[in-house]
Amino acid sequence: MKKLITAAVLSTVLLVNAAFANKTVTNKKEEVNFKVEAAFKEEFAQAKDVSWQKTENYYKAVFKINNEVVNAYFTHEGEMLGIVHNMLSTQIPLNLQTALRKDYDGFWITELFEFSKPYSNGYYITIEDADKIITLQSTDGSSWSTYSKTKKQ
Amino acid sequence: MKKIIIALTISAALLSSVATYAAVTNPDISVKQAFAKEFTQVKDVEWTTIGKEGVYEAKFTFNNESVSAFFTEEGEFLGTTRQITISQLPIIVVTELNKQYAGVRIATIFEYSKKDGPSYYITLISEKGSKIIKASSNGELLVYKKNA
Repeated sequence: MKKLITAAVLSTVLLVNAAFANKTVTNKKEEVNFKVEAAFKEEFAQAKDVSWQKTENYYKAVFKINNEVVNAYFTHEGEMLGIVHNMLSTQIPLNLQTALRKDYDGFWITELFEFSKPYSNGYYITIEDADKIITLQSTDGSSWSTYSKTKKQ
Repeated sequence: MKKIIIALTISAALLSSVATYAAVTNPDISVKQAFAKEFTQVKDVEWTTIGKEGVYEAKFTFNNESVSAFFTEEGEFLGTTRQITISQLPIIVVTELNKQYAGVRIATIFEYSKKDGPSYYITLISEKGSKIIKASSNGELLVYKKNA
């Protein structure tokens, strides 16, 4: 079940975070339950500018660490499901940059983020050319594999 | 064993000014071909050798950053190093640093990318002294060297 929820979080992000599209942002303490707030503070003690969104299945915290905007997802029981961090291409490991240059020259980047769970970290990038849209993933920080590929209409 | 020695040679080159550098050199064609295969469209490369293990270092600019790439004399690609900022660390590494070393100043961060993925060498400075932390991309932190 946990894996399914985590996969759902990632899918949600890849689909432009539709689950949160119409949710009201709140930073009121009383609207985040105690377990989630405690888990958040333990994990991100130095977070700044924290705001919260809530859906039926999980909470999303949007905050800053070292001036980088980060999203973290928690269950209502306070279990952290994952962290999402939008990035520039120069922020990913060099091996991944050179692989993009070698294998996808001529494509442009439309989305790039890292998705971290406790004890694991991965990168997801969406690139396009005139004909197709490709999402690549890297779970080891050294090479890309195809996550999805669609032809443009 | 040789691979371990080579890895240590690169780590020493990465973290210390005492690594044994030879004069600028012109490597064998197989090394240059290996470089061109890994780094397409890169020009203006400066070649040196480091240590006694026949490791070639290529210094160049990639995406406006200074990068070093390492090859054996047979042309095997060993990895790259570059100095990075905290915004280029995986967020899971940043959160672990904040948890385990809150209030400690970060002096330098180097990324060492190998075929099996990157690792990070982070020099921390506090009132008690300095240390180098080796971080894996999954957020695991190990003390690599004390009083660096």
